[in-house]
Amino acid sequence: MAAVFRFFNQRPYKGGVVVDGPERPLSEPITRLATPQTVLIPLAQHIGAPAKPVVQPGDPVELGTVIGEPQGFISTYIHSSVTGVVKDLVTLGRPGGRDIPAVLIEATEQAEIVREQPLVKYSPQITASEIRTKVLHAGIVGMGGAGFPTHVKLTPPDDQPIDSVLVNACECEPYLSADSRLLLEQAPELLAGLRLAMQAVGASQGYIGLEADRVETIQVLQELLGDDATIGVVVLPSKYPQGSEKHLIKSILNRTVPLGALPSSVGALVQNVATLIAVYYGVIYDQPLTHRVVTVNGGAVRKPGNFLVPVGTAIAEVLAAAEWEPDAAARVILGGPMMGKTAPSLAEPVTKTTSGILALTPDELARGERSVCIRCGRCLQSCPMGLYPGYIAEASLNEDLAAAEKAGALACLECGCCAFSCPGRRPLVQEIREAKLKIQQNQRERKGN
Amino acid sequence: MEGTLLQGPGPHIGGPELTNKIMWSVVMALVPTSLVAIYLFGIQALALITTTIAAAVASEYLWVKYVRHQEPKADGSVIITGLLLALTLPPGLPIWMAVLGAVVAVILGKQIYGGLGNNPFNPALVGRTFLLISFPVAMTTWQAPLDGTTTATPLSLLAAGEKLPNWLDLFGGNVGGSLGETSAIALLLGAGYLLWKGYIDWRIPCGVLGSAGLLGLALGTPLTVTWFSGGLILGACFMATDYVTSPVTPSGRWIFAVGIGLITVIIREFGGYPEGVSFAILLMNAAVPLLERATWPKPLGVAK
Repeated sequence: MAAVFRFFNQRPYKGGVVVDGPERPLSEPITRLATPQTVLIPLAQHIGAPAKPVVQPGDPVELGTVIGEPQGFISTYIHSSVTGVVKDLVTLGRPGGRDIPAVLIEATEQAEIVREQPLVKYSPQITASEIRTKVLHAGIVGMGGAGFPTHVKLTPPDDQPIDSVLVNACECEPYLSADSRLLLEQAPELLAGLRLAMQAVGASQGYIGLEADRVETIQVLQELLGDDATIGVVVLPSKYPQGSEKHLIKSILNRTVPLGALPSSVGALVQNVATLIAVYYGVIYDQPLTHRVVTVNGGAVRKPGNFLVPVGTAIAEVLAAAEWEPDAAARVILGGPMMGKTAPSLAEPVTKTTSGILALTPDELARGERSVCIRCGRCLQSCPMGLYPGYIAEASLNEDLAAAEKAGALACLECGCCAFSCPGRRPLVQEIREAKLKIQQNQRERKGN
Repeated sequence: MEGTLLQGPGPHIGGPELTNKIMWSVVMALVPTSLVAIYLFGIQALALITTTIAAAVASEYLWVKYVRHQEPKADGSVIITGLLLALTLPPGLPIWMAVLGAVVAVILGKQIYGGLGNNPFNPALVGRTFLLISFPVAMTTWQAPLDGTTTATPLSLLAAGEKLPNWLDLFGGNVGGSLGETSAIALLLGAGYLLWKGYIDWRIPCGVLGSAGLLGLALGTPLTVTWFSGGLILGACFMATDYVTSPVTPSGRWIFAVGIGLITVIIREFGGYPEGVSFAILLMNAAVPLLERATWPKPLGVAK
């Protein structure tokens, strides 16, 4: 029997909130979205330098053709998600002068992902550097939302050996079920991807952390693992933000990542489910990351579900596939309802990091009158980073950046627990984010001088 | 909605709690105590409760509208102030004094600091203390429940070395005292509701009652007398737990609560007043900024 740990009462982290959401679409299989007529593929879907376009208008491309090459180490490849013709190189407007280049491609045929016979059967012979190279060439990035290039994460610093690879299978944001559904359908692929990641960083132990209500998934994993002691399944409390890197490490390994340091400083690496499955296909089949599973949900969606979507598809098409009601929606959100961003338009493309598209009705949005701070302390008690968010937000409003920095503004994850629990509906995250941006800008200027 | 997608910062969903919902729940939690007060002390109690609430609401409304030039909000907090003040008054207090107390509580206790969220001291206790210092005789003239004859409170009996009522009368409220302090059972009913809803922090009533009880025992006073013979339960559950005037940090709340319990018993045993809950809370209110600084949370990942 595989080791299943129940960590309910073992040093859980402080803070966090219990978020009730609607039922997650978990029982239905993932639906394959039809190839759209055009895709708009951004060349910056990751943290780091945007990829450099290597195609021109008029060029024919196939599913998987490289259309962008990495510039520098923290960057990655971008591939076409359809077979067709490049129509244009465009710029996607973003606020604050952070516009990003993108490639518009017209699909000429319905191309399906075809998996040939595995080129390299999974075997311990494959070297760590081969794995990293294949991950880079497959254009794999952290698919949970951050988009950090995975080959970089699989290259730990020499002085910080990694002993444990953790799979974030918590999917702690409400409404979403893309990772949970993927795990249910592709557990063997996930385990293979996890073993590849462990091999790439030389870790001896793997853990899969998931929330207690995934009984079916836990059984599937237990059966697959048999008596393999190198991978443990860890059942965690259903609490947000359980899937946060630092909190997953705290819950599973009882190690605390020092402020400002990376998980590698405590010998840990965290990957999410979709990313590791992409690693498996990238390494074993040389298949680039061109599609991802997206949850479409919300009160204004008639048929919530999970869809396999070509990167670059307009969110309008994915929403239409889930039969959304545009008139009922007040906000369209990319990602989860806690940390997701509002979509600037319905033409916005799905990227490698789009875990969900939510169309929320006015009733689902945070309601109630805004009031002054009554010092109830809920923000402080809910902060998983141990901050006093109300104080930092107040300092931010008063432009007292020194006080905000001293109170730990830069440690803020922007998880939203404080604003969620605030009975005065104060926009705490937004105010803290403003302080963070100004503090970081000042730090850069100080360095520059 | 094409082209006009609403933008906004996350989190996009909100938790179940809202300020005015919490405030109105506190008012609801004080209803049993108010009803018992009206049963025990009759029309006088009803008159005191309604006039202090009316005076408090009117003071806040006029101040916010004509001094601060803002639109007054019905957040319920001023009703708590008026009601709590009434519950700390002796049943026979002249109405005009109660009205004066309510005006002082709202204006000097709350509004001059900038209104809700900014006042350092519990407004109801500012009003009560003002009345106690200004009208010491009227504020310490007590009536027996139900028949209205002049009587003493259990604590003044204790201070004079006389025999106390039995504990059932103490617990149920059939003793002399302020409107809202006599019936422990009605207070605990309301406090239990607030604890169950998570609207008050259990640390504060536990800290106050625990520390006062222990120090009382050490000085030879039975728990029933320490807890049920004065305003300790009203103070511990409804005044010390005021968000605005108590620390935000959990460990700060412990120290705050224990301080209130100890100071209360010290005043009762050694001070010039038979009851010390109000002064104890006001003194610890003053210590809140210090307590918060001393118990400021450490961010996760910072060396201890």
